Amino acid sequence: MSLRRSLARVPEWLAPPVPARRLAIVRIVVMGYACAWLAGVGPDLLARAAFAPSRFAAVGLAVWTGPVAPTTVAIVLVATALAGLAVLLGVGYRGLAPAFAVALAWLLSYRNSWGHMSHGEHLLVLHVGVLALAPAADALRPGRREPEPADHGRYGWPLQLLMLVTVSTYAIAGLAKLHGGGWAWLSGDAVRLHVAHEALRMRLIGAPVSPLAALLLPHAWLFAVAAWGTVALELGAPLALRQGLLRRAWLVGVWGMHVGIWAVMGIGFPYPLSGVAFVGFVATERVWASVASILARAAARARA
Amino acid sequence: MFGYARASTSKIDTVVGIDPDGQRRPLSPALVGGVVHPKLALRRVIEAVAEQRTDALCSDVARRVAAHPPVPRPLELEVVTETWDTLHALDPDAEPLTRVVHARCEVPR
Repeated sequence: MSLRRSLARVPEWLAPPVPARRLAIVRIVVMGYACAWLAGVGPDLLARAAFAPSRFAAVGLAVWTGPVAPTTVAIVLVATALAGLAVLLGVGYRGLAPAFAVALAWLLSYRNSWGHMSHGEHLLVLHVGVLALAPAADALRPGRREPEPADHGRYGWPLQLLMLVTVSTYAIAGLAKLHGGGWAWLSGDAVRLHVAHEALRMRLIGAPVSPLAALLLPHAWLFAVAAWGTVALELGAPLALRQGLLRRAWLVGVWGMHVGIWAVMGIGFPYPLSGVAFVGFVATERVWASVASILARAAARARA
Repeated sequence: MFGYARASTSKIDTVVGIDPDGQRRPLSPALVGGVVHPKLALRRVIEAVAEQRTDALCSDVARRVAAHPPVPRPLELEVVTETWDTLHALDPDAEPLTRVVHARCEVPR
């Protein structure tokens, strides 16, 4: 294929025409997850907000404000949760979604500003930011009477961007391992030492340690396999931008990687583990239609 | 995350309880740091060691331990920096290579 023909396809690749419903389902799933996450970490956030300000080490958007009164954090948390519910439903989306994205980024930055960084939240914040700027409430919104709009590139670019953001985070992680650990990483030595170190730290502080850690640590070859697998999945992440078998294989592989990290190290990243981080890779309107059809058949059988 | 090589030894700051029979045992994140999150609790100890506030930390932890149900309650506490052979630290009879005691305090009865 000539370069000119390839370049001509770039705009279509960046903004493929897709149904408004696909983007709306991604909105519901990701924003729903963000609301649930806020509800889950809310008590912990409020507990941290009551720490002495001397412990505060600002990261992210918390640099703008520095430590604030715990009451302020509580008010922002409640307001953000309410905005999140509206955004999830698609109500007042154009104004509320960007506000929700900024407030979520600030709240999670604030929670991470007390000496421990929860890396699992970064991708969620980026995804919410992308969706906040997209026309993700053009379908599946209460009170909407007009028919759903036709497939369009304006619903496609946010999904392409979500996928690009996702694969970039994994590719960067893979490059960082090669840059920071080099051969020690690929040999499995670094992974093995990280697993042992984490388990030891948890044991010495009196936290639960995965029994798998002690079981696997004597078997060095397992960690070499895990290291090569991890780097291959992370550096190979851009392959998931292509539809088809490669994408499905990558999604299963990277999810399995997170399950493995959780099982062996006790470090769970709920966003990818739940699968929500990868919803942008899926033709969600087809899944939605299949589920609706199954439910309709079940309801008809129940009536019969 | 974990994108770097590690040394073969691990140096870890923590607080341990000492039972009446002299056995050392770990406490819990809530007792050590006053927080449920283990990494935040570890951070509290690291900061206290770096800022030479280990006596104050020891007293804080002792107060929390004393308020805890006494089964089993340690007699004393130590704020320590332990160095371990990382790969063998989980072996059944493993002991630290070195142990530096920064502070020692009694648990109020």
